[in-house]
Amino acid sequence: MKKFLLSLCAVVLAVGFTAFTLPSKNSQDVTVVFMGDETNRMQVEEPTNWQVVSVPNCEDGSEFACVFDISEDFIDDSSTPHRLSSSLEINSVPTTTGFIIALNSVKQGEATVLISNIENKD
Amino acid sequence: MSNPTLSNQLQGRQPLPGFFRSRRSVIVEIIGALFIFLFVYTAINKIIAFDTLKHVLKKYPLIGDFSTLVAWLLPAAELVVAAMLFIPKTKLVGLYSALSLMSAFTIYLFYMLVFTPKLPCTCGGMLQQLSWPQHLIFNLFFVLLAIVGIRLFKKQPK
Repeated sequence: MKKFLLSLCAVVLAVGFTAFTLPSKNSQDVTVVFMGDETNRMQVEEPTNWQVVSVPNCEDGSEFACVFDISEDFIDDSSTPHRLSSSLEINSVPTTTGFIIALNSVKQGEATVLISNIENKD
Repeated sequence: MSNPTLSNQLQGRQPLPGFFRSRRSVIVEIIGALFIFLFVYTAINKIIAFDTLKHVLKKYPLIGDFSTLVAWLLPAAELVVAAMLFIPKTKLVGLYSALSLMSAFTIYLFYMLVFTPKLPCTCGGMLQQLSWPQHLIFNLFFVLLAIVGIRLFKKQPK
């Protein structure tokens, strides 16, 4: 019985810990999977309500995927690629760029975006 | 009546240190519980972020073409192993499965570390915050833990 208790505790702890560590999401925030080829830190000036929450294990200069938070306002039309003027920071060096993102999917507060072109990197 | 210590010494084998010998079953249970916690936690996180997992796996070398299948198989395998560790009768099989799973993850992780270190981890939850080298150490620790668990389980009195 004691053996079961320990295993049961592990299951309960795992579920509880998952619930405790889940990122809080309100209706305005969605998680975006960024399929790009640049930077581990991106700051978009326009629109201003983009927020970077966590970008694990990402570095500039190669293909990677990162998780971002983005306002729902920009994923209202998932069929149309969006062109955004923005400021891109690569290793804390600000650069101006315009890029196209295509929204691959939007589902339950999560969206996948594809950076298909990055211009004026310098 | 046989004396296990004496019998081990007679066979020329190094007996387990006293601490491990006396608390064998407790340690096996703790190791099992640690694996259950790890697998249930990462499986739930993978299921919650299923779409993200699928998309990121597409970028992974070797398994990219089977990303949807792998995205389903990973949490399923973790939950099955956790269930095996939960049931006393299948605990040893569970420990072997945990060892196999962790070894497979570690080998793939090593491959990732060498060939595509810039891709993010899809392991789920807080573990995603670990860097690849940290992850490798974490996995090797659990591989070692599984080996210790199997060894101690086999030495338990029937």
